[in-house]
Amino acid sequence: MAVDFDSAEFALESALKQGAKFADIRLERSVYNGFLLKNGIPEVSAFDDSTGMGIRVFINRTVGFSATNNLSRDGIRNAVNWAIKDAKSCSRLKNSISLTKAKPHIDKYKVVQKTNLEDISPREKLNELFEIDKAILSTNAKAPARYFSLSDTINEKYYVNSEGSRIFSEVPRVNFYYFITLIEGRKSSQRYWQYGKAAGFEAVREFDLPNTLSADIVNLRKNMKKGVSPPKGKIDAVVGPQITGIIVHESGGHPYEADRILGREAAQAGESFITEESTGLQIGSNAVSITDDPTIPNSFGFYLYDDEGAKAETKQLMNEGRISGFLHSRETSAAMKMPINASARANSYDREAIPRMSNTAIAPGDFTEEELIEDVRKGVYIKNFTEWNIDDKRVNQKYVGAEAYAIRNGRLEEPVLSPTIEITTHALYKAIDAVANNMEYHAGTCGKGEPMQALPVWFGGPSIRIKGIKLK
Amino acid sequence: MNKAIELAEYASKRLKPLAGDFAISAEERNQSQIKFSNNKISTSQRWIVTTIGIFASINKRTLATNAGIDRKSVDKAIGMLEKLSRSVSENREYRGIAEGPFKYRETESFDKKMIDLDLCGYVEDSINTCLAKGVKRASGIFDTTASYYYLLTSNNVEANDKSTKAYFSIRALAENDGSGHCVFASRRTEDFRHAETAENAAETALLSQNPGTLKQGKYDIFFEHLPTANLMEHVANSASIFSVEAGLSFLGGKVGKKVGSDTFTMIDDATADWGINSRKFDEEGAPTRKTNIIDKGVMKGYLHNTSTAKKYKTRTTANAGIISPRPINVMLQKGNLNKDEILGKIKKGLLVTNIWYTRFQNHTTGDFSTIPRDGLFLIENGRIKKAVKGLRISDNLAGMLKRAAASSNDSRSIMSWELENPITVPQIHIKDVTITRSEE
Repeated sequence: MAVDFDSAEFALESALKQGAKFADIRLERSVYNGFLLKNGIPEVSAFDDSTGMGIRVFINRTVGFSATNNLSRDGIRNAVNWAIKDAKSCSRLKNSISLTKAKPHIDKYKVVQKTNLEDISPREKLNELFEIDKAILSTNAKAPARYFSLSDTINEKYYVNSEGSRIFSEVPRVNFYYFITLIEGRKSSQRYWQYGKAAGFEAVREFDLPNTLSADIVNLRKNMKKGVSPPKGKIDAVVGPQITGIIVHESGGHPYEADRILGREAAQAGESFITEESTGLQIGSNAVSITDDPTIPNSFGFYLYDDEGAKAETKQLMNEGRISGFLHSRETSAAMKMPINASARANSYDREAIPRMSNTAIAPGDFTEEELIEDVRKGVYIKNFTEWNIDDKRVNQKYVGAEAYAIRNGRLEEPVLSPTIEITTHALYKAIDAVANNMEYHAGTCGKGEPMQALPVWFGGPSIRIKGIKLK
Repeated sequence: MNKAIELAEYASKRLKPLAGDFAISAEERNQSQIKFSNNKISTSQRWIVTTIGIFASINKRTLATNAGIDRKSVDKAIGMLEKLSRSVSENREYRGIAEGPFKYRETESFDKKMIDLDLCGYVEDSINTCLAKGVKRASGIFDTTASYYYLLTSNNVEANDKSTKAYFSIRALAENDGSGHCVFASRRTEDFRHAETAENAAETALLSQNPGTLKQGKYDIFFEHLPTANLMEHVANSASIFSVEAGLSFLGGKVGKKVGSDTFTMIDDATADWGINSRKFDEEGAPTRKTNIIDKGVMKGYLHNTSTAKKYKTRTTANAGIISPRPINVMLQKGNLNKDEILGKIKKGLLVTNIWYTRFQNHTTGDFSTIPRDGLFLIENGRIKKAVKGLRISDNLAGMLKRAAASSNDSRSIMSWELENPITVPQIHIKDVTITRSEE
């Protein structure tokens, strides 16, 4: 442990001496290695070892936050002074914030790496990217732009608060992202995806990136060569876990963030179609249940305590189509008079902790993916996607398929080009009539807060069937 | 700043025997932000952060790190770079950084009145302005930053710069689904427009209540400043040669070709006094300059640093990013007509006050979609007919530039939640934009 525990205690003591009714401190060290290969050329290799402290004080029912990487006693004192001074200055607006109390925890945990990131040389890490590039080129696909990024981070965090919590964690993460442009005749297509886990380098090997990516590229190329227009009129769509994942993240996770519901993110990531009174409301079919679970071992969104010192738990957001829970911080749980559920996260010491997703998924059903397809007379199977977006209340959403096939009489047929689902959340969740058992999680980087906080998450689920929709 | 400079000099001494080229930056930043929502303060935030950034080319291995703020950390960071250089492969495309010394033009970017402002006072006034107009809620942020910057390179550059920046964002929320979002960004206090910004957000919110529906189809669109800036950021980023090489640009192979209408002129000019992102030099110390990106619709050239410029046998445009050239202070040229005059030319169209979640299906073709957010209005015969909602712009950015019919004479510096690097734009009118809507 390279961080100085005493400096966190010093910050806490300073904050309380200056009148904070509650204070918490996050002292974080982050060691980062990153490699970038663009069109076969190693653009940059980066290393970063940074340590800093985030200080939150609660005074006169107002929250003040400051962050510094000057961890001398003077530097910390200065940062605490700013947090107190700014909060006091703002308290003249008669703010009425409350923070739910949490049971104090004294604990430490770490994610064990089977293959230590520090034992893998930079050359080996960069070689992984060269191997992927080679595999892509060996498919004979015309891929003029190939962009690969591999990074790993070890995050050490010491959390202390005035309730008595003292929590130390060490979480390694690996993260791979690719972006490829394919040309086939006069057509071009682009494909990207992300892979991430809280683990050592063994995870990168498990991803089997050269084979996984080259198979994707071969299929996408076939799609470009032989793809036809998607079927018209009402159809059934079976979508694979990557699309289920993005759907649940965008419209089954974000709207359940309690700060959105309360309007705290109104000028940033937006609000929600859900209101405080929505609990119990049936908005989806009985086939759909959604959880957010930060405790999944080695998941990209893994943690055992959130960034407010609350003990992590599995949260049920939707149960058989009914809204059943929200993602809370101390502030939102107090405002809604609901228990906290350890959903407050910050992406770094210099950001405030706010309600965030961790690993959000549609729960698996009993069918196989094949059974979902067998019952479709006319439809499409969409494996993955390119463009997507959703409005700021999380209602109007769009997903454009990348690798996709027509379904006729229960069989996968010819590839189809860019089938587009553009549908409201309510129509979509009601139309899900069957959920398969082929559960997968995928990695993403979720954005929220201001300044922007990009956070590692998993999103996932099995293949699902969306009945009776129109493609664009 | 003295300590940061001392550390940069120390890092320079350590790197000299090791690296062919290096650039060391030291930045001290004091940033203050008030976030407010539902007419109350959500939190005050303050950042007091010093950054020591190091780029080094060691045996043509291009390496980067951020060091901590003591000598031990600098030693460790440089030790890691040395270790990395022995392990990773050569960057065959790296061709060096700018060769100094340079003379820099002093650019006005720092207003000492910006230090220690009473941001809560501005926030309180702005909330009250909104409430007085009759909206229910106001949310947003007021953010000021003072930054001191020092650069030292292996190639005879030693330079200082300093800047201040303010950014104000307010979203007003009215009854019956009405909302309006407006922003301003400026380098100096005398350009603050918080009252006007709050008023505009409130008026848009009130006007956008009870939105109706609209059929899919093609509509002329009048984009207010905020959505124009959001779209133009994508155009400006596409002009970086890095984006072209990485498949992230629709401007590849377009130099000398018509990519926009005659009304469309985009420049990058970091020399402009009080320009929202102006600075004296880029990340390798090259003096910033004015670069025509698109002139009357014709693509003039890409944004380069020294290394990429050598590769393409051209001059740097002083847009380093050493790894990736990037736009610095982008301005879309304004036109001659005011908003009402442009609206007067629209028989049937939409007025878009904000967009978000812009995503590309294919960056090289420009196929994309984005979602209008907040006040969205049907225009008939130059006048607002009604508020509408639930629509999506599903079009092609390359095509839209060619269909740009007019730019207004009112240019503003815009920064937003999705646009962290501010740019300066007028309002624009684009013809025949494809609008889609979700199945319900």
